[in-house]
Amino acid sequence: MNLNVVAKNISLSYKGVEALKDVSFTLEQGKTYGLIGRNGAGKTTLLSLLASYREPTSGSLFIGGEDPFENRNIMPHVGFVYETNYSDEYDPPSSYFEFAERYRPNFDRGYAEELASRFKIPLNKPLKELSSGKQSAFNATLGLASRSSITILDEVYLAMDAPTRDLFYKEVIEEQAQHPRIMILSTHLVSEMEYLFDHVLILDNGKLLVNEPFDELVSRGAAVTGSSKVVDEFVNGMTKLNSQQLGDTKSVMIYEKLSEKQWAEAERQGLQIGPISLQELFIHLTKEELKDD
Amino acid sequence: MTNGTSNIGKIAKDLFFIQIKWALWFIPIVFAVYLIVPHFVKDVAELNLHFLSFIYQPTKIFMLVIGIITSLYYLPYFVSNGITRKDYFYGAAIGSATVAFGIMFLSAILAGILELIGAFSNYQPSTSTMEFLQSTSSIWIIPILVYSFISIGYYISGWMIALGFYRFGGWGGMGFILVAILYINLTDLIWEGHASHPFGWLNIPFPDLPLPVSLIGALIFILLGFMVIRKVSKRITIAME
Repeated sequence: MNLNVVAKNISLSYKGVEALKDVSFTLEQGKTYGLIGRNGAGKTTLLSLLASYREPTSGSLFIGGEDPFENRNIMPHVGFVYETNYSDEYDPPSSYFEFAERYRPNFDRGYAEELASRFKIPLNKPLKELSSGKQSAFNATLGLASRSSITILDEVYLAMDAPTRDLFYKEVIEEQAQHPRIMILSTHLVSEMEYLFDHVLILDNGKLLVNEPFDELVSRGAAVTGSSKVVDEFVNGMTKLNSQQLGDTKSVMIYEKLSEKQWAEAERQGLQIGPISLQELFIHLTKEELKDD
Repeated sequence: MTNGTSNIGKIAKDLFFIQIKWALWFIPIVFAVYLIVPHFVKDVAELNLHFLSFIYQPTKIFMLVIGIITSLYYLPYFVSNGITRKDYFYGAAIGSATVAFGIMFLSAILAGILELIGAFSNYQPSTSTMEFLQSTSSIWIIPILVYSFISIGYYISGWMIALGFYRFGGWGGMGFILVAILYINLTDLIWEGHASHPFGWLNIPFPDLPLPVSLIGALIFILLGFMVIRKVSKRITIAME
């Protein structure tokens, strides 16, 4: 059974707020997806639909060609971990592993315990007594070791320290190679994670702004630098994300795929064309919202 | 890869063991109170209650409380682990019913031990059942059955309260407390012939029903309660905490 995800025109409103607006996308097995958006953009809401925590107000969602909501063929194969509040949790990680082993069809207890030891998570200590960094690492462990066909990790890395995050990123790559599945990593910390993504979805204010393979997306953005006048002429008519000027030198960030001819033209005019990172694209594509705030 | 099979049996078993573990604290405490209190409180001694009938009252409250706790905690936990609301519902319903019978069964064993002791010593175990069961001569089967049914009703009302708050928030939850109180009172009315907490003072004229009628009425009530719960939780949104 191929558990690909197809979302068609999904909208979701609750408490008078339209959290998702007409969102459509597909997700394929074997790929790692970066779901990027600012705080409150609707990332977690979208992911909670995939995990059948709730239903969309309109539109349709299919996993493996079936509606996942209340579907016992699908729900066990969607694993969703997020920053959970463990302040009242007396159970230790080992109980959670035991439970996952009983109910998650592909959960690997051995791998979970190995990962826990690498993250230095004590297995028999109540979760409420673990530091927030260890709790995050525990969530990530649960998510990875469940080996669900659809593995959703929603900002579980925020509280981890840098070495732990690094270990986690390596594990994501290793797991995707050994046990290919759909992995969705949602984040607003783009810069250090972008190399993990095969495909990027950017949500902004409930709308899907970008839905593109990572390579194509970053090749579309470029920074054009040179003499102010020449730069202005060159970027005329293109989608401009940002510009900076120092003396007569200007640098304009564009969101446009340049043709071979345009590359040659830029070179002839002495313009420098540099890459821009996903982080920069994200910041500037969602910038308008900043002004509204 | 896809198992697709129902997990109801597994869920019922897991929930049974989780809750019977709590009951294994509860039963000995009540048993100790049962043995000690009549020595100090004359009124209790005069009731001369059989242990099954003694534990019946606190069991109602115990079941109400675990009904609230399990529903608040385990429904989201199971669903977040890929279990459907439907499977959880059936698993929890079976699990809670077996817990109610389990408590009464274990209590019956304790009462049986007291009788054995009574047979071989000067100790005289109490033998009275609740007033409403005095028409039957059975002190084992019928009380176990009836007390379990009533306890299930209390569990259902706890489950209703939890779902009310979980799904509808403060005011909705309050509304469900009223529904639950009404539900409990109607259950008690069927059995005890009068309303209970907090309407015990109300003198509702209600005929003393013959046992089979009460039993059937109680079963119908349990089914109705479960139907309300299923209806409310069928497509419930799981909160992320």
